[in-house]
Amino acid sequence: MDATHRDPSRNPLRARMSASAGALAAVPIVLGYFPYAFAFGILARQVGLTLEQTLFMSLIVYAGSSQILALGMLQAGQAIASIVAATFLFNLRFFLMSASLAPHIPEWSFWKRTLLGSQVADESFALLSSAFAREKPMARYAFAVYGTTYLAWSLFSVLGFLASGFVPDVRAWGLDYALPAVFVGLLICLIQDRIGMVVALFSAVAAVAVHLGGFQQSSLMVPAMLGALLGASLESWTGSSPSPS
Amino acid sequence: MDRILTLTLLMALVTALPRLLPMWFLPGRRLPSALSAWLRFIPVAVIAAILGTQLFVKEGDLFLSRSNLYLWAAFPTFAVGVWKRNLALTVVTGIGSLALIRHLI
Repeated sequence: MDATHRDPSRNPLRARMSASAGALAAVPIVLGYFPYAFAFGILARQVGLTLEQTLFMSLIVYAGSSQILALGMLQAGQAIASIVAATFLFNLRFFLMSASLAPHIPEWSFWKRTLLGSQVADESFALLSSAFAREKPMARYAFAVYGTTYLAWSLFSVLGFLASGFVPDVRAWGLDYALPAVFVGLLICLIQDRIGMVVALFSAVAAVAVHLGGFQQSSLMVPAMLGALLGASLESWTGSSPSPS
Repeated sequence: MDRILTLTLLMALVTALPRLLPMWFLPGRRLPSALSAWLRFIPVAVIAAILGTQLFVKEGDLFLSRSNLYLWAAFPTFAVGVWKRNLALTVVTGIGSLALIRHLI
């Protein structure tokens, strides 16, 4: 996602997995979080959350896309159960990320493993898995990456909330497009082959069809589950071996 | 209990479980391959499903029109995303494109 990450030969982690190296490596993630957490804060206020509720959600959920998704669903008047189910499905991907980090740290204590798992997110996962593949995993490095991104996410959420008083029309700034743009960026990063592209097209078309069919509440989960099933089936039929994520 | 508080606590719970369970119970073990293949496609499928409805649906109807600014802004956003493969730059392009389009119209 960033220059440091793309070019291993210039990677500062290579030299030392210190806490300061971790914080430094997290800087591009922090920059990427800014418009995103800021938009979350603004939207939270528009949807009617208080500052405390906004901060609390960022602190204990800490999963950006699903937080914005939840706000959108709240605004659309969806039931709490639907929002929670969508959040669960949306964040199921953390299971795979956590499962792929776990084998690197068999000797870590229960609480260190719990802390490492509790903050698994797309961007920090990408950074940590590349670091763990190269060097012996160092807790202080990992927790410096986490601490930096976690604080940035919460701080920017609050700033966005506070700024929304001064930015009366978010639409003029185009900030209402932060979420679609984040999804475009994540989708491009996640599509690794033709099967991924087929899954994306199928899921998008199915979601629109289900939505237009009047089933707004299941327009996310059902198409996504079917799309993933299509991907897994295509993969086993074509016998293509996926790269471990 | 307050509705938002209930929602936030439940969201935290269902988000923490997938993050923590592998850390607790899966040290070095492997998932059944069919399940892991299905889970691997979940992010692409979920994100594409959301993006599809965000770009093509408005107020419950198919929104294919010149006035669908979200769709227009998607072109530069996709282009920069594919070209640069950088999340931050893609987000800034999307926001900037939409703001620009709105100011031009």
